[in-house]
Amino acid sequence: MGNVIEFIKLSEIFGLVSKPKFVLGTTYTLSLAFFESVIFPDIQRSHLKSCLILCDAIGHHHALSEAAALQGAAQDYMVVAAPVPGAFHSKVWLIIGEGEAVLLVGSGNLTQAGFMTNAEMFDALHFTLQAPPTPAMAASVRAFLMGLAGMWPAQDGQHLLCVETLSKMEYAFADLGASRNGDLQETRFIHSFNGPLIEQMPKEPEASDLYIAAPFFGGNIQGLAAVSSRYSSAKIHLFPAVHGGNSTDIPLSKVISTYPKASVSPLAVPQKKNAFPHLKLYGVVKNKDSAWLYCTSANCTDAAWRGTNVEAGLLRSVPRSLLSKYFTASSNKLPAAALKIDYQVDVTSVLPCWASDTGAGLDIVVAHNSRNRLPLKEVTLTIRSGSNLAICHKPVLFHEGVVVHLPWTAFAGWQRRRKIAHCLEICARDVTGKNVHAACLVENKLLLSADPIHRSAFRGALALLDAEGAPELADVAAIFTLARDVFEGHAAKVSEPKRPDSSTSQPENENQPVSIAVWPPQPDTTELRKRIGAGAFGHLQWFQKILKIFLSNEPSDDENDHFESNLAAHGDDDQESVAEVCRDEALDGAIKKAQRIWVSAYKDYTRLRDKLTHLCPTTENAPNIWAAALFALLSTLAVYRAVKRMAPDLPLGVTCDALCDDFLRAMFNERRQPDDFCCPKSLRYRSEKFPALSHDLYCTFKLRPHQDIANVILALLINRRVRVPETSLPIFQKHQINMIYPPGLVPDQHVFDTCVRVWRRYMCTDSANPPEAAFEANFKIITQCLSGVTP
Amino acid sequence: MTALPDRPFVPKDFSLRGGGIDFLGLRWVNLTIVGRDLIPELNNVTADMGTFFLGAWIPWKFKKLCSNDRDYTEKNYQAFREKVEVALALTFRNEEGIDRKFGEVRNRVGNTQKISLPSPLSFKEAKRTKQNSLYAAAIYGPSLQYLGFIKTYHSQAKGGAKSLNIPVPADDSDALEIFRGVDASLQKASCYERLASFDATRFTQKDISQLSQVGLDPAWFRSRAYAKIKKSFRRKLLPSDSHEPGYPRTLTARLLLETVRQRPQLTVPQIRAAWYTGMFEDGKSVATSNQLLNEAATRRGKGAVRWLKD
Repeated sequence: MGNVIEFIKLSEIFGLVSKPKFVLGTTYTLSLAFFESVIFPDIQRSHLKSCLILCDAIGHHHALSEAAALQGAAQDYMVVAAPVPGAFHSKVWLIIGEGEAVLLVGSGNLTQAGFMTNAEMFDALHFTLQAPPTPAMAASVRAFLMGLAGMWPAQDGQHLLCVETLSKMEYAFADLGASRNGDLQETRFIHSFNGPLIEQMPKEPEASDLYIAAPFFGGNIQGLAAVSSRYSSAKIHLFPAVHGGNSTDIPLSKVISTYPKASVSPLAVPQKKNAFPHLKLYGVVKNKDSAWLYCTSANCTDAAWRGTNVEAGLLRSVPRSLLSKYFTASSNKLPAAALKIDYQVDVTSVLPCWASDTGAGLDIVVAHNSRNRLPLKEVTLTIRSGSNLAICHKPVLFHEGVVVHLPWTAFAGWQRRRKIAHCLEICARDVTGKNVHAACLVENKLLLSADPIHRSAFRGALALLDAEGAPELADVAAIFTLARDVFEGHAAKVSEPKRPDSSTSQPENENQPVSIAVWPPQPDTTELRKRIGAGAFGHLQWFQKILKIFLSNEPSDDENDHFESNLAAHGDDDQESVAEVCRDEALDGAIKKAQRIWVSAYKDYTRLRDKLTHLCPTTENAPNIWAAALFALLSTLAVYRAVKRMAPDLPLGVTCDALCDDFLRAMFNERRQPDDFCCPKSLRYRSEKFPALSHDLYCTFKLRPHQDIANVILALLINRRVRVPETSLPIFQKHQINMIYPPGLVPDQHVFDTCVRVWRRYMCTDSANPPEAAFEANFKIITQCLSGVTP
Repeated sequence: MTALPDRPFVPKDFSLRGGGIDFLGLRWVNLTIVGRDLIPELNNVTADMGTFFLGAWIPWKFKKLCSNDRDYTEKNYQAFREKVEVALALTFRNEEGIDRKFGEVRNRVGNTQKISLPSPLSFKEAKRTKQNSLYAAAIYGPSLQYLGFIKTYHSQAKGGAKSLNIPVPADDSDALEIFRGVDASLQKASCYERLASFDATRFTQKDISQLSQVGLDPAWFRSRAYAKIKKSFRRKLLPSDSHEPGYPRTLTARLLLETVRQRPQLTVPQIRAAWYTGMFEDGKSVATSNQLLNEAATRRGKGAVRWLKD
């Protein structure tokens, strides 16, 4: 091979689609640690709806040995074993973006060897709206996607997110359209879902030469016979790979005796002289000028070309002269020894299953075609997450069908960890008493099916509250985008609330809210979904989920310690000076990152805060204002704390106390507009002095915040009193509290605990020595004053 | 933007040559698998059990020294811990009077500290940072907890306030056996009272030498005189209950013994190769009479190197 064969980093191919929406990868074996370390981080994820990796069952089984070290598997991307009778061997990557797509097909598995070190061969096509696929190509890609989805019977498909995702990918690819014309010489995507590969190869009765380079032949010449039978007139040029320097996977003597005219030699790959030639490349000379070149996953085996394997490749028409560049014989001699491979793999004890995290527990599904092996007895279920594991024993499982739900509490001592993959292993006896085992990653369907913005916001919220590392700027921005959507009513435009009707036989209690609140997190979802639509419902669900995390999730006590110990992990007892340098660099980077995050977050918050000043609530957005405003504040306070954790000495231009006080002013004070403000006729307000938002929401819309939100407001009020002590409760504070709590509700111990927790987490600036006694004293003052207070 | 060629291409290695260690994050994978299947929660610096003994003794002794909650403060704990840690590191120096008849420990935490005696013993005096404390995350901190010497690194505070960074020692019989054994040994030194106190007194080289001969040099615990506490340590290190998270360590140890019993002269790479292939170099099977051990051998072999292949 000369310089005519390009030498390209696969990472550059992944970068061709600027904002991918879908990424599909198929592979035989895989290293998910490699994928997470090297490939996934380079995929732009701001618009990424789904990333799906399909692999062979055996590859999947081996890949799970790395599960303990994985973070995003089944959380940020899907990994599913393909249920096919043969080997799922195709190596296809389809990256679909807005108006463009890349199809990458070749011989390399998703491993370090397959992507980097082996001598592999890939071919790729870039489709755009200006250069769409030909009709045949478009049909073939869609057939491939449909073929993948069709691997699962309908009974299994209904449980599987990957099937739904493949369907979405097919639609997304179809959006690219197809060119009007195609011709017989065009590049073709040939795969097993359109029939045996050999039958799809172009017929060339006059073919003069057939070139085959492959590492595996199945230990026989059946594959060679299959391919050569298609081109019986052609002279064979065979390039078997040398394994371990001493063997090939084809009986050479039999090749010579069966095909006496064939030339057999090792392949020369100048770009990777010492690498194992794992490539699978086929060339057919059509005539004196042109040839076909098929770059594929298919080894030269009967199973690949005519059997049950799933294979794929790109077939191109190329100048005949090019073949000699690809198929150059090495001067080395081929060894006569035969490679010993045990092709017999017992998979009868493996039970295909899938698991998903429902939040409360695990949904486990066994493949429909394994239902006759159920119920399972003496079942041991092990859930692993990092180095933690929890075990659940069940005498019988799946006695009512192929689906079972197990609460997390069934796993004694299980503590769910975030940002880490969960792996489920099942060992049991089937109905016949035979030992069976199953293993799969536990899918977080909520995350996997979330919109990119929601996933990003969720990730940001977790990062803000976690002691580990720092949030990504884009993730923090996504939180504020979500807040803005809810704030502006994009998320939940509820229908006009019913006004009290004088003809109603039962008098309406005017103090009871009549609108639907954004909060609490568990609304009547069916009714709400009907009202606001599925898209907005998704926004709302994620908004609530994140707010719930902000309010209820207990962060680590030793955030600072952890950050410091992370830095310390770079050090070494004997290399303190190196460690010092590393620490300095890490700190410098942390400071810059912290600054960027804060500037962006504070800008977003200021925009939302300014809107509160000018806002005239309507029936559409009024129910969201308390929740959205508080969401924005808590997000900002969380960012504030995270930034302070990352860079304690970084001046932020505002204090935590100032943020809290400003929020209270925005919600409880009258809002004076600028002097040149001219009140529009359409506005409900008639002067440049707008009423306090809390007052307007309560008096006009009968809206008080949900109690969980009210508790946070109470914590803000107490926090102010802690800093500016007063022995009594001034009338204006009574009024403020009456705007948030219904009459007669006196904050109890639960409210106190909530307030303290929120205060310590977001507002207390002296975390080392929180003035808890003062907080408690002020809480008591408020409680006492509230007893008997009526609005 | 990369222009795609109109023909197949060879993928180029895009690993960052010289761009830093652990480009693929495989060290993490390696450590995780080693930490899960081979020697859970520990790593290969655990050869020196004496360091564990002392690391576990410090919080236990501190608790004993405190008579009430006014004593039990982070400040007091830090002072006491630093004093013992600096003294411990001083025993690594090759000064006169320090007998090395039991050899030297492999992981000499804090041996780069800079302190001239006589002096009070603190990290500040020794110009040490908490990153090279015995309890740092990168050193023995997690291992001490995973071996069951320390219940938690945080003591609960009153009224739900922020917890204190004072470890709570374990209270099982083996842990107590070790704590008391270490304490009894250290008490033989005349300066023990000054060490086991909150006082910031000055220590001399003679004090350190004396302390090192009664167990402050962790290598000293290799002596047969400490057989009883070594047994307790072994039970902690190699639990016999298969449900214990540390049980794979026991399996690994048994597998190692079984392998070496079959071939006493094997080197470490040979053992690793035997576990991976299931056979010795002459083609004979490593199979043991115990199915559990056979499975363990397969997991240990394949788990550790699988991703390096294909």
